[in-house]
Amino acid sequence: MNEFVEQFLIEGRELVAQGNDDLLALEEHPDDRERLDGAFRAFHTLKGAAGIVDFVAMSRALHAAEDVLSAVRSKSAPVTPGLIDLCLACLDQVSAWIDRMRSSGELPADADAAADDLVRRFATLASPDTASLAPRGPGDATTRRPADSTGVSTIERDLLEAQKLMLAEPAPEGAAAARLESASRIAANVLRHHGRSLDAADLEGPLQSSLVTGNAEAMIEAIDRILEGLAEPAPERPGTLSPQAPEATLRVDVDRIDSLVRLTGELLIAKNAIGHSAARAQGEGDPRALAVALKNQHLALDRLIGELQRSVFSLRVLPLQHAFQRFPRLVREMATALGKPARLMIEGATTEADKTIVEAIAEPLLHVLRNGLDHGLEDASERAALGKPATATIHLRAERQGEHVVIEVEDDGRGIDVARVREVARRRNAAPEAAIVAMSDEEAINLIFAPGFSTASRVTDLSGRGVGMDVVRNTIERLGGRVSLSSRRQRGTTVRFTLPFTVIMTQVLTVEAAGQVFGVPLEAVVETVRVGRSAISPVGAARAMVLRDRTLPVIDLGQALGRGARAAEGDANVLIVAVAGQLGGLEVDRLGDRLDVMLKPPEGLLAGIPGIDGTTLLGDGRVLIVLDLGEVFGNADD
Amino acid sequence: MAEASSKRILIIDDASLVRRYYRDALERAGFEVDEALNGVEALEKLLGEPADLLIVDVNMPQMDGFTFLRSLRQQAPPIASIPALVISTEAGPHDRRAARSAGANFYLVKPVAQDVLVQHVSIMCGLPA
Repeated sequence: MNEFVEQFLIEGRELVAQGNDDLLALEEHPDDRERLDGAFRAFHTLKGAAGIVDFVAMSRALHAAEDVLSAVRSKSAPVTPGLIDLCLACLDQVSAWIDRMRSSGELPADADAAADDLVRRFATLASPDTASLAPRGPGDATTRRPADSTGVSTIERDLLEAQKLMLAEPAPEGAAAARLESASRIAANVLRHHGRSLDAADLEGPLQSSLVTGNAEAMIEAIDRILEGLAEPAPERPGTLSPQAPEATLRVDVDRIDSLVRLTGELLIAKNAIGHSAARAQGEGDPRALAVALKNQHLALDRLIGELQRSVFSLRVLPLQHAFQRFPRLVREMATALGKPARLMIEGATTEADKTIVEAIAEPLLHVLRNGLDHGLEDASERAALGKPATATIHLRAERQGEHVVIEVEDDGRGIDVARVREVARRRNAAPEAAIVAMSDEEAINLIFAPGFSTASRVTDLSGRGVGMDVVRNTIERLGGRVSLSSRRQRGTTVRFTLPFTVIMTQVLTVEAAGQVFGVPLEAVVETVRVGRSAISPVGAARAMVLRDRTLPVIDLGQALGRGARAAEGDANVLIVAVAGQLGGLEVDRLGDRLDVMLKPPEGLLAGIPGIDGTTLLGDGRVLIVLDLGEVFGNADD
Repeated sequence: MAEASSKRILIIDDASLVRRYYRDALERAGFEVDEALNGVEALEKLLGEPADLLIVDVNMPQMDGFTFLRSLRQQAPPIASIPALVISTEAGPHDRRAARSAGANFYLVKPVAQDVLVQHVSIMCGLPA
């Protein structure tokens, strides 16, 4: 058997497996461009390989399949179950031929009949307007076909992905700069080839930044942006596309617009009803009847405004597919790099979530996937010894559960060794000793989310980037969600993100009192004033000040928190706040920043303490307590 | 616009048949082609005249492809950053990884059809589609 045939037999088997995977996934998600490209590539490469070993019959059958897939790629034919079946049948036949070649060492003599049959079936599948898909003479099958534009774009993609992989690899002494520059040259040339010469100049910034910091991350991110940009058609004026900018336009379902229009109509009716009540209040009507009418109108308005709010939020939802689409490919690449065959199965990619969440979720998910591949999965030999399938399966699932969106990553790897987690947590002081001892196994496993914890005993190029699972948790919590983890020894690990469906941002003003930082809902703040403390006078047990002829109660937040009364000198920072229609003054030590935060209701011990509206996680990981001013001032009256 | 004729490709392979196969395809596509039989000869040639792209075999006498690439990436500019396309007989992940680690920009597995080679070289040199 010559070297080429041997090569062909090995490669052929891999390509058949890859083609099978992609076809099955494509059947499930007919719009999955990556799977379509993958399947096409498998057939294309197989055909090329068959040509090199002069297996004309196999080339012919594969050529027919490739043409049908090519029509799907150019959107002139749909993905149908019949098409998938026939492509799979073609791969089965190829697989059978390869088996026979392996055992006999020769090309199967009777392959022509089976090939003719396949070619005929593919031709029947093709619609009349794609007559060019009709079978060709045996001689044509192996002739060179000009590369179509979509095929080239697959090479472009592969080239860009390869640069990322190379940059992620640790560079030998003195070679890092040359490697960055060579990757940058390739990326720029891919852009030039793609007709985006102007964009090529944009690589200079990330290149310099990576050269200066000695960290390839900036360059890798720049290449990622190009990869995202390649999915779009080339812009008419090159250089106008800025792939980095978050999406400024949203595609909105017509139903959602209709529901807004309907709500607007109902709001108009409610408004008219209030006008009617106002007219009645001017006349001699019965005040009690008027109060009942107003109360009902208030209820109606309350309901409508709540509905309006929900409708408006629903405009901001996107399918999670936007975040998931890069993963099959990334997992394949990472799995190849690690030499651990793994298959990613995505379920529920059409599940919708708030745009903020869809845009922010990809990074923590990627981190979890990367961790799972790197640490969670055994290598092929270990899996074989355990009787597990050689190819590991990672499930990525998304599901809407009431007001939450749950996203799960489940692998069938070795699971997490709780004893080892406890040991590492102890060694790295991730939690107090007594707490570690007292924890149940389920609780102890969650120690891997503690800051500074990482079970990686070796640093690999994939996950050894100094970012631990605590960053994942922080990101999820900042989105108002929770992270949990469950694991069974030798069975696998599941990481679960529970996220809110709608993201309601509250504007707060941070203030400082008694050495602590608090948030005050900005909607309650009327103004901030600076007054001499002598202007704040004691009124009984409380204090008051006069602002533009109105007397306002003043609460010293520091004092309310238990700090002693201040000396009555110097100036005071007072927030003038409106609480239930009444004005009040809140004295603080210092005013901070305005922030947009996601408010969580107080949990645990905080839930029992009055005066707290909710909490939010700041960018640096600190918890900000947001005050419930109604309760703060209400208590002062007691 | 860039033209193939302005791009110089250096083929580094000890097998004369392979060199001829690549040269034939690339010259028909209009590229300027030069050849080296191993890494040592390639470095000498590059120090004389840089190239736009290197096509590198792995198993070669005197200096193999990976050693050549590691050494190339440690040279002074401008030759250190010349993009390299490794074409190897090995398809396994370890070989791909070794190539990346040595600084290869892309990896193809032999045999590479002539049209596939020209496609890759054209894109890697930034020629218009």
